[in-house]
Formats: sequence, C-alpha cells, structure tokens
Amino acid sequence: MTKVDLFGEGVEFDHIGMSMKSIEHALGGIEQTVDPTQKVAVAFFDLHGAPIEAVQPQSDDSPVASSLNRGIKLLHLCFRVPNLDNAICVARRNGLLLVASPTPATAFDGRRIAWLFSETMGLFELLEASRPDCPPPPAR
Amino acid sequence: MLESLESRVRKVISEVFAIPVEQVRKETTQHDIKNWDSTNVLHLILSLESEFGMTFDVDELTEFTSVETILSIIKRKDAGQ
Repeated sequence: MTKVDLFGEGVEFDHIGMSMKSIEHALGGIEQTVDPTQKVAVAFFDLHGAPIEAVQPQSDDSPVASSLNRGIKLLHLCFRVPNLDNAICVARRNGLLLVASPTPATAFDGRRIAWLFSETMGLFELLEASRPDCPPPPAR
Repeated sequence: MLESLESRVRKVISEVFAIPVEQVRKETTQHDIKNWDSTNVLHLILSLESEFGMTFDVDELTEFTSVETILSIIKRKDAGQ
C-alpha cells in the first residue's frame, strides 16, 4: 500500500472523530467529558476495534453543530505526534492549513491538540503524545 | 496584460464556490454566497495560498469574510506587514 507522509516521523493513528446530536441517545450512559474551549462534549468508544471519539456540540455556534446540520457525521482523523509544533511545520510544508492553534484539551488530560485542513483529505486533529510539562520516560 | 489582483481573487472565489465570476464583485461578502461556510472557506483559503504563493496565519482565518477583506489581507501580506 502506498504510504503518504503528511506530519513527519513518529506519527501514530489515534482515533476517528464522529459527530452526533446526542451521545446519550446513541451510546447510553457512556462517560462524557465536556471541553469548554472546543464547545463540545466527547466520549470514546471501541467500534469493532476502531477507536471512535463521539463529539456532541454544546452550543449552536460550535463548528461541529454546523457540520451536523449539513449531515456530516465523520468529522476527522486524529494522529498522535511526538512534537506538535514540528508536525504542524511539516503539515504546512505539505500544503495543509492550520485552522486552530495548539491548545490543551480537557478530553486528553491537558495534552495539546491542533486542527489542520487538507484540500483533498479534509480535517485532521493532531494530538501531542505527551504534555510538555510531563514528557514520557526516556527509552531504555 | 497582467491580471489585476481583484480579478484573480474574484476568479478563485468563483471557482471554489462554483459560481460565475460575474456574480463575484468587489462588494461581495460571505452573506451573498450560499455555500460560504466554515468548510468551504478553508478550501478558498488554500486556493488563495496556491494562487498567490503565500501562506495565511491561523489568526487571519476569521478575516476571510468578503472580497474586500481578502484583498486587504493579500495586499498587507504582499507589503510584508
């Protein structure tokens, strides 16, 4: 299979973002996290081995709300990156547009996320593998 | 003859939103074009980056609301401000 490199080295797939009007309605009593910065509630679940982030808009001005109104359910692909700033730099060189600057995300224990848009592949979320103030232990 | 900045911008907008270029005037805003939404404006910005060989910063994205503001952004970047 042809490999495509958009974000540089050390990148790993993390999850697929799927929008829904009501997480409660779709998934029952699943644990939800509200992210006031992104104006969404999210919940993670395993769909036959595929990690899914369910995303429910918390207000009408949430970007997710406008997607949902246009019938869009599959929102984004998320990849973990070792260094978010480097990955953004590589992505920009590859023609992607940075649509939201790095910001800590409640749903990911304060790790930083950023949003990028590709003309041909749509929306990507990049998730930093670790918090800047809590780096992973050095490899042995 | 060199194509003017305004006519190049109008052409890009007409291509992205699939409307005749005559419908895109200097006074045109996001409210005049039916499909000017949060996703299609990203297609527009990437097309403008490609047309003008420049990159736009994340802080500038909310300014892409009309032909006039787009012209201002491009002129500002061209002037290195």
